[in-house]
Amino acid sequence: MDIKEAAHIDAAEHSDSVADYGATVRRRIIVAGLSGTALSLVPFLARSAGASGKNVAATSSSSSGTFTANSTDSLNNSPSGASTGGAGSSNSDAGATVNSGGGYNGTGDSTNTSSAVTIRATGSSTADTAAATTTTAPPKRPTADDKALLGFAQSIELTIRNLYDVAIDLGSFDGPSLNAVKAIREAHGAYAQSISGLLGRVAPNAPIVALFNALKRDFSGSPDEVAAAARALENTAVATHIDIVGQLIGIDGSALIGSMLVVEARHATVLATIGGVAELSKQLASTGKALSPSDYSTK
Amino acid sequence: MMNTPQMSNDLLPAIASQELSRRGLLRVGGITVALAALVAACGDNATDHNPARIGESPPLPVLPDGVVNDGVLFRTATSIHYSIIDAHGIAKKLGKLSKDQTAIVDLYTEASKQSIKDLQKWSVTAGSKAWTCANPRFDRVILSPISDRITGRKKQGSEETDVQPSDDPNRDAMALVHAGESLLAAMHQALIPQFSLPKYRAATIVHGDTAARRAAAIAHVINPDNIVNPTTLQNANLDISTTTTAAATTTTQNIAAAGGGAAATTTTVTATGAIQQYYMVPSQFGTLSAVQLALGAFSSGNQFSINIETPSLNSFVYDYQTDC
Repeated sequence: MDIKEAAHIDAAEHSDSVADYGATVRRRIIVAGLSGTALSLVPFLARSAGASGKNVAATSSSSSGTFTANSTDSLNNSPSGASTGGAGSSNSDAGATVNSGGGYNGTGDSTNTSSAVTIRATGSSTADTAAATTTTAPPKRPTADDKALLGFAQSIELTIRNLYDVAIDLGSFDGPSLNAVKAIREAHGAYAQSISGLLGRVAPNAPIVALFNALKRDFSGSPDEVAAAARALENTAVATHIDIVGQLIGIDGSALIGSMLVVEARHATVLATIGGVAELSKQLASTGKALSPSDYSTK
Repeated sequence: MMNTPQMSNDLLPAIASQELSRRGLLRVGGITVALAALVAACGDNATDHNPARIGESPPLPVLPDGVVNDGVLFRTATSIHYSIIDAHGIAKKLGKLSKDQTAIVDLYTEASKQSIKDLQKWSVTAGSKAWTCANPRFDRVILSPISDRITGRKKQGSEETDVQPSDDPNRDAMALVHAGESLLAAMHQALIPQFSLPKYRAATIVHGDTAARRAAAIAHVINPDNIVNPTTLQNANLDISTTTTAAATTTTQNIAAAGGGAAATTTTVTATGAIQQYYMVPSQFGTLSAVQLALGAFSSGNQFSINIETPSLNSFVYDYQTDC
């Protein structure tokens, strides 16, 4: 082996060792890169695994005073998403109630499928008291207490209808006034029927006999006297229904009574004009006193 | 003896001196593409609220939360009462009202002011700030066009003709007053199922009661004969005689018809000038449908008609609205 050959062999060995070392370094760099990439994926995987838990936490955060049904917190992000009343459907559990402000107490009405998707309920009666928060929407269907109130309202309507019958049968009115009184009489019958439809079998479907007997005489006089008595009775009905609306928990009953009383208020004004009341302020007067179920039996 | 390159000085030149083979390039490229695909697949696009953009730009505007609560409902009712006071003001200003009519409108305006005071108290009770001015959307969408139909104006935008002034401003003004009070009654009725507490429902319907009485009284002033809507009478199964007026017919020559217009066609002409009727008792139950108001000069037998809706999500006065 001459010196050139030896140098060549030595150079080749040196080149091989450098090549082996470079390959090792490259492998280590790649392994390190892959390890870093794997570590960077850990937060993504953890977030994916904990997604449901995060939503639950968002749903239960009711301390801000905003009720959000079924984790639909995104509805709060725009005005168009906030709905109230009968619109929208909420699967809220009416039985689970947190009511610290003197508001209604949901009674587990399982048919509560509407009402507010987003409602911030306040139960305080003074301005300087922090608003209380309820976590359930009002139920649609009447509660047990509602049914008693609605039954009372139905009995009043039937009593009023029967009193108009007395006046019509006696021929107290004629012409346009008679048609108006007949229409008013029919309206009260329709109110009673609507309440009956809402209550079902628990509806009393009977007038208040004591009230009828007490007012029957007033509906047997001259047209002006009957108009005055009927007007007073309409005002009493309006006051009673407003009082009932202030006690009803269920939305359906409240809405029905509300739709009745605004027309009964118009009836009172009509009867004022039929009775010859010319002064506008007297036509608009609402002087009725609310009747109470404790005063009359509904059966 | 192997020469081990020093880490700091010899490694990089050693790596750099290595020639990349075609296989090596393909391997490195493949690994890079695979890693990029893996990272992209694991990315959470749903939570990325900042899409890629080039250059500087201001942040996107975000609408404030529009939470409908009891206070918002009371604030909205307050605002509508203010707007109806504005409507009554338009009626007084443009309607050439008589002294008696002016007294009625003044009485109604005062009644709405009383309602406003009560509703503002309830707004605070419900945890919101009292609203002290008219509903901005209502004034813009409803009152402005109504004023134009009474006074008339030049055509705007894509309109083909000028808006003619009303042929009877007094009639239109009284109709406007009636529509305003009817809307108040409907609004308070519509708010009942939206309130969360019974006491709030009672608080609102008290004002619906008084507004309904005012609507009935103004209907009686407009036409004392209109007591109960004929449809309601028919629904009540009353034996009411109705008057049916046959439409007038004209015989005109149809020049487009075959035979050079020898044939004649009969055209039914609608009655011109039939004005909208208002009744003391328009229906058996209080309705939540839009209050329809027809006013202005007649055009082809019809007046301008506008449907006034009870307030809803787009006209609520939310808590974040602070400027009047």
